[in-house]
Amino acid sequence: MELNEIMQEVPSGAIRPCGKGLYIVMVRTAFGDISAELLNSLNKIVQDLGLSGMRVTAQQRMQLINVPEDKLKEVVDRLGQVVGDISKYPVGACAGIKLCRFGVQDSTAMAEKLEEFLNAFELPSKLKSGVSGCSMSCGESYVRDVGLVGTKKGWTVLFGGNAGKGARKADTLAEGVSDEQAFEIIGKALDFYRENAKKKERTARFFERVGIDAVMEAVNRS
Amino acid sequence: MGEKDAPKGAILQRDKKTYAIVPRTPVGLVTPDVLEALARVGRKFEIPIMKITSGQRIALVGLEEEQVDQVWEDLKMDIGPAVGLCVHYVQACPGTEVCKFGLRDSLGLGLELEEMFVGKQLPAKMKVGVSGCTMCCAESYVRDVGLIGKRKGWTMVVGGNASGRPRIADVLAEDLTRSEAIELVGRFMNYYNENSNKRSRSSMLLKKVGIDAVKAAIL
Repeated sequence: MELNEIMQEVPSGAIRPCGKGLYIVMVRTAFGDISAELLNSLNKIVQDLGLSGMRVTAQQRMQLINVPEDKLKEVVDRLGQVVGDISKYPVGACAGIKLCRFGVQDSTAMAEKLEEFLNAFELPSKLKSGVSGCSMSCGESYVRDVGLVGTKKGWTVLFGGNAGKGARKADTLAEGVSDEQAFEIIGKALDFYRENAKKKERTARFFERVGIDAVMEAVNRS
Repeated sequence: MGEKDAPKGAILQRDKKTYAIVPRTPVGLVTPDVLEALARVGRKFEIPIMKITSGQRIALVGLEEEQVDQVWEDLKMDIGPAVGLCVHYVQACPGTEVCKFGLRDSLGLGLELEEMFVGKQLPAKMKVGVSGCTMCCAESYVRDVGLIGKRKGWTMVVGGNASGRPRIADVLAEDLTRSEAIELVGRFMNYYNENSNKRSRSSMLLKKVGIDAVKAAIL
């Protein structure tokens, strides 16, 4: 099978060339949740095909590295049975209320809902989100495009952060809101961003250009 | 926080009964042998939860107290520090090894720093991020120590933080060679050790003294 055909079969970004005829294949792991079975399947693929191993990314995903072109098809087929789709706008989450002693809100459940919510949008640029279950903010919500931080009173909604080139601390859009209110605010902010941002302009740059007041006005519009 | 009575390298969980452990996987690389070991203990001990952390590690969660030593024994891996006042991890993007945009070998430098500094005792925990180009995928500007690969050399930034009290790191030096960068990381850690209060992260120190004071002291 031709390389193009294999690439078309998988979600965009799932296979990335890394030069020298080698490729990275992303493994879908929602919010870093993996299991002994998944590791087992990955282990079998790596051992059977003699691959060089995996890399755990800081975005809580795993990738099979240095996959030669002639083994891509088999890797993709075998992975397809253990992992589903890759989401359009990935959401990261801290360990959450099930695992962490400090959690006050259910970050992983909220992250799942947020990822589904974001799927309905077509945005000008990539968008990264982080959900944290307490104010320690292990989901790094303050340096994501969309951030949620759980407090005793509800969610703090953050927008316009960035952890990469041109790092920026996010602005706070609301505090102490419910799940539904948080989605309403995020929706309004994203609509405003979608309508007014330049192509490929990340939310951090957009925020710097238009200012917090303009965004707040759009969010408060009923 | 109850950590004192916990078994080797284990973190007490929310239920106050079970523990999590985090094996050391420097810069997120999982070799076939390590993958095999993790898959094996997962099966054998029926580990209920495994989770990828944002420190590029795999946490094994829900172990009974008496299982902790057995799992370490079986894994034959080192502990990745996840609590305690020391260097926790060095994170790195794929760099020139794996990424087509990479300008410098972030995995190589990350591994070398990991080897030298992980576990080093400091006033508070420390996180390090090494990025192979200015896209900064290892989030170097929001780590205690960040390195960014540019055409002319490494840029070193310090005092960043990505969590509850976020802070964008300050630029300490530019155009460093690999060995200069490693030396400067060591010098910064010593400065931090001597000048910071206990449990005060590097971002708090930078906020207090300012980057010029750090430059004057160690450059």
